[in-house]
Amino acid sequence: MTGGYRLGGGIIDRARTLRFSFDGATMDGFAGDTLASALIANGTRLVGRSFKYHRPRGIFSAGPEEPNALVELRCGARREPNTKATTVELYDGLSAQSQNRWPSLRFDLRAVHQLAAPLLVAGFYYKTFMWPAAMWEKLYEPAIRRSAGLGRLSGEPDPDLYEKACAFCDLLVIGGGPAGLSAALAAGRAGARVILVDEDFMLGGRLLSETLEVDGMPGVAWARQADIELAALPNVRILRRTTVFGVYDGEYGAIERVADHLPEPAPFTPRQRLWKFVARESLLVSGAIERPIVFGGNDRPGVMLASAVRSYVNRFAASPGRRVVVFTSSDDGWRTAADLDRAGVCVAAVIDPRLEVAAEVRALANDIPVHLGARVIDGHGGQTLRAVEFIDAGGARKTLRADVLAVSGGWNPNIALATHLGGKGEWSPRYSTFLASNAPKTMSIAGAAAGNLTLAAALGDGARCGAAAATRLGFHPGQLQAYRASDEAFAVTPIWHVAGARNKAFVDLQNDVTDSDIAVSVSEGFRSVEHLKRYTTLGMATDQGKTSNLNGLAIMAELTGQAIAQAGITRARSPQVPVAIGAFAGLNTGQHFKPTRLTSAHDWATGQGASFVEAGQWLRAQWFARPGETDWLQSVEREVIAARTTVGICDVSTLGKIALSGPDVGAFLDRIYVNTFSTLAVGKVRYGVMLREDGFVMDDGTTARLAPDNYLLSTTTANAAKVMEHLEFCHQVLWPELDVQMVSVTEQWAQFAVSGPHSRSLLQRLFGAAADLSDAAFPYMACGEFCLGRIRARLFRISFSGERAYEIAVPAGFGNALARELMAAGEDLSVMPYGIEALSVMRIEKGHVAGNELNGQTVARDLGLGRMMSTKKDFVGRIMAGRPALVDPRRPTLVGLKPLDPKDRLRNGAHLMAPGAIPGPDADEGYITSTAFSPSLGHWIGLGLLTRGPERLGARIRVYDPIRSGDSEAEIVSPIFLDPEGGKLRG
Amino acid sequence: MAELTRQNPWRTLAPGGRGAGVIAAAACRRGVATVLVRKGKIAELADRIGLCFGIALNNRPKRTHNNGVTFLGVGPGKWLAMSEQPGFVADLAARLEGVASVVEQSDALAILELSGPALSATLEKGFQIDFGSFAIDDCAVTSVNHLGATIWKTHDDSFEIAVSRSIVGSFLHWLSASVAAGGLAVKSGQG
Repeated sequence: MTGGYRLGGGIIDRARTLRFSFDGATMDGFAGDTLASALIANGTRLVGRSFKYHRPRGIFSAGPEEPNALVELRCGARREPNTKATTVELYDGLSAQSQNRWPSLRFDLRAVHQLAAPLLVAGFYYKTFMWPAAMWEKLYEPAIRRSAGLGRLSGEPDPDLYEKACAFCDLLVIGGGPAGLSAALAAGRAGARVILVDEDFMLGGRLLSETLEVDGMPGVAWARQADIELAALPNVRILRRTTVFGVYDGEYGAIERVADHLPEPAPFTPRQRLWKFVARESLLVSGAIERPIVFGGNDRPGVMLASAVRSYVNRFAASPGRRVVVFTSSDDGWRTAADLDRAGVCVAAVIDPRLEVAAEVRALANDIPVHLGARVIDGHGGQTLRAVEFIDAGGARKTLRADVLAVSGGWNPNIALATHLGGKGEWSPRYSTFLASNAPKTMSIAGAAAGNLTLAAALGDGARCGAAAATRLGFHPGQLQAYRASDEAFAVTPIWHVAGARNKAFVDLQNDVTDSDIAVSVSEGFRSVEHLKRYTTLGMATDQGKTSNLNGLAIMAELTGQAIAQAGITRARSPQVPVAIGAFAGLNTGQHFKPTRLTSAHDWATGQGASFVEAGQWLRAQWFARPGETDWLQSVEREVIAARTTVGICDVSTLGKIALSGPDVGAFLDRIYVNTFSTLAVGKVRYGVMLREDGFVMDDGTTARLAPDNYLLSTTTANAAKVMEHLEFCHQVLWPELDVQMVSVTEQWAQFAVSGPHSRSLLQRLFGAAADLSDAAFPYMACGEFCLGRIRARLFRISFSGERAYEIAVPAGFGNALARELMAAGEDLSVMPYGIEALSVMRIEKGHVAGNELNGQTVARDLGLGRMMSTKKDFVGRIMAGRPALVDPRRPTLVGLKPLDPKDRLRNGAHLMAPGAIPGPDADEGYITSTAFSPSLGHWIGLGLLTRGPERLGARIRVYDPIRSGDSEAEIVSPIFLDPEGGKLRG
Repeated sequence: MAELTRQNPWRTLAPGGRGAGVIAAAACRRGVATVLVRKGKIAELADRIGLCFGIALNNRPKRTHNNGVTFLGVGPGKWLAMSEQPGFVADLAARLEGVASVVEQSDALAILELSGPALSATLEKGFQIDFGSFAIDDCAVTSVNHLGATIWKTHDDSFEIAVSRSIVGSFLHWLSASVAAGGLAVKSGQG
């Protein structure tokens, strides 16, 4: 025996000793142990401190229902708080620490909270920390969070990888216990694609913890045999260490702990994998969870679920103590006494509140003293249980020395997943528990989860349900296999609560909710279980109340004079076990949080020293800093000056490009845009504005007619997908009669704006004799296709900057080379790359609207584009754009703004109001949408939307920006600051 | 006059992990076009394609191919046509004049051929498709780890995937992370 508590037998691998530490103490365990079983084998009883009162807590269960034994696992960046020791598979080098204690687990000063327990009842926070209100955020909440709570995160980036996967199957079997195995065998043998999911690292479920036999062999051996057969079936996939945490519409979420049982994941292996299962049907075979009984001192380390005691003894060969008392109101608890006795552990007594039990059950106790009609009222001790006080059938109080109290109040089928889509539990008087009702349509329930609590019943039910599911799914299972197994007794007379205790009696061990809290809740008038839950926090901890909910509502029902069936049960929600946020994020963290789109000239821009900015998913060059420049504004100023005085190039590949073909494209575009496109000549480009159905501007851009039935429509970068969707909707739903085809070609073309007085020279050098770019041959708003070496390039004479400008497009594979070639060809012309900040400055100088103005709240008239709206044709949004509110002359309309004092800086978002007006909503006349420092003018300029703006040119306006302490005056001017006649762009 | 050189969208594709669980080959020499049927011309289009390429056009998410020319059904009345034949797209546009719109996409899409013993385990980490019932020549316009993708099955254990050129970096991040446990090998492109 290791540490004196290791027994013989079990299904641990004694040939593989694993060294681990808990709170710095080094211990040994074996492969096949959990952290909890290894701690038990080493005699460790005190494992943690409770959430609110910091009471000493031990190990309560042997599975995911554990409310007490929460530890911090690992250290450094991999530190993982609130880990259930009962589900942690032991590995060599494991390091665990207790949590929520200071300065140490044994001596926790915060245990002083117990002295204030009479004040710390349910609702205490809500009632006490109400005044003064300002103190809540500053003092109360931080203080409460510091003193209560569980473990600590590392605060460091998680070094591990998490990934996601998706699998499809005919039948998803949720649980690898006896019913799950028999179901998977039945369906798998029939040929159904089966996914069998089990949270343990070994298949078998309760078979691993029992001494029962199947088909004449130990249950463990049968489970292993089933495992081997299932693994050999090509249509069956087994996922161990995997928990289904949620049921969604036809889909199931699960978390696979791929490398949680290792010190760190193997190279290239994720720590955890988040699964989505798409299953035609599922079978919930998630077993049942033993429920405790509420009595005084029921949280002492050493008070455990009777089935958990059996797990530790039978599966892990670890005795939870030297002297055990069994307190059970079910036949099943007696089996714990029998197994302990068989393992040589002293059982001081079996205490059963029932006056009668069946003879074969009574026989399980062998020579152990039995107290029928008795009930445990208090557990006594400090950091471990020392004695059990009970009231015998005659009403006498008696005390038994014990360091373990194994408690069994019956079993609750684990139906949480069956309620995720809205179903609720239905009270079963036969089983004194809730069974699933209104389970999801494609979910069946079998085994203990359906109330078949004996091994024989579970095996048979599993096989039957597995075969039935396979049949429904179109497979042909053979004859149903009959399993030989014992039908052990499982009768129960529930006892929820033993009144009259001297010690605190806990209902929810993890959230420190006592029977008194339930009483307070009832006295406060809460009658609904959902209100009880929220008022007391019953069942709201990481264990989701798996061992507490039913007892809590039973106590409430008793206090309110209701039957349990009337009180009902709270609905479980996903995730039914905690899932790391990292698993939900998967690979999409940090710079990979969302997809990144790079233009084909990204490498060139990087080489030019670009600073990039996210524009949706795109990365766009914002500016290109040159040596000696210390401020982005310097770089932008230089780029603007270059584009206005020599020539600049800017990557505009991200603008949406949609190819439209077919004989009816002209008619189609006439209905899409406010202005006319059917008259556009081949080889010409036209600017257009499109509205939403509600009359507001959706997007703007240019459309080129490349051939009689071939147009190229451009969109803003931000609206590319939205416009494509809009066009497809209009064609497919509104006007399917039009012969129009459309497809996005944004990715096909790399496109660069070439702007400035020398732009034509540069491009002429590039094309040589292949293109005549004279103003006569290629005037403003012309477009065409020309040879550029072996490829065809498209050229558009359009300008966003207001300078003579062109946009050149080549197949994207040549984009990087084109950018380099443009730079080389323009070297002696002082060519300069410019980014979207310079682009923005130049468009503001020219009064061109962009995203800041196309904000979904503006109509064409607001933007000075009202006259573009044709009165000779219909178009999307025409009627709605005529609503009185949208044609109201008082609507804020686009103007330019020039600070009266040239030193003043204008800022986006500043409000506009009459000089001398008292700032407030009533005085507000508009706001600034875009601002820039104009290198051409030498001061800040702005575009804004101002009530009756165009009528007020030359007037003064107050620019009020309280957030940034701005308060200045500006002159209302035309939004076109430079070259209002457009002479520059026409050449 | 400038002579530009084409940049391979898969230039950062590199082996990773240990082994060759998945073998990737970039298909960089294909001419690719979107073919969109003109209104009411589906029968004429099918006839024309049958005549020109010996392919029975399928207006479903299927691959049909013959003699180095492939049509993938990527939407109702919409196909991706691919071939390594020089001048394929221009030739196709001429052949389908009047019955379909043909739009060049050779540079828009980056196509990768994937095969190997760990491929199915890799694909299920990004695609939400039931590959168990995905037959040879099946095709899906779908997403992989939130990235738009078109995937089609070419042989028992091999697929081809097309993604937009701009997201190749994000796609390779997913691929290399998802495949690394089994190892990613790279072989020279097949066209």
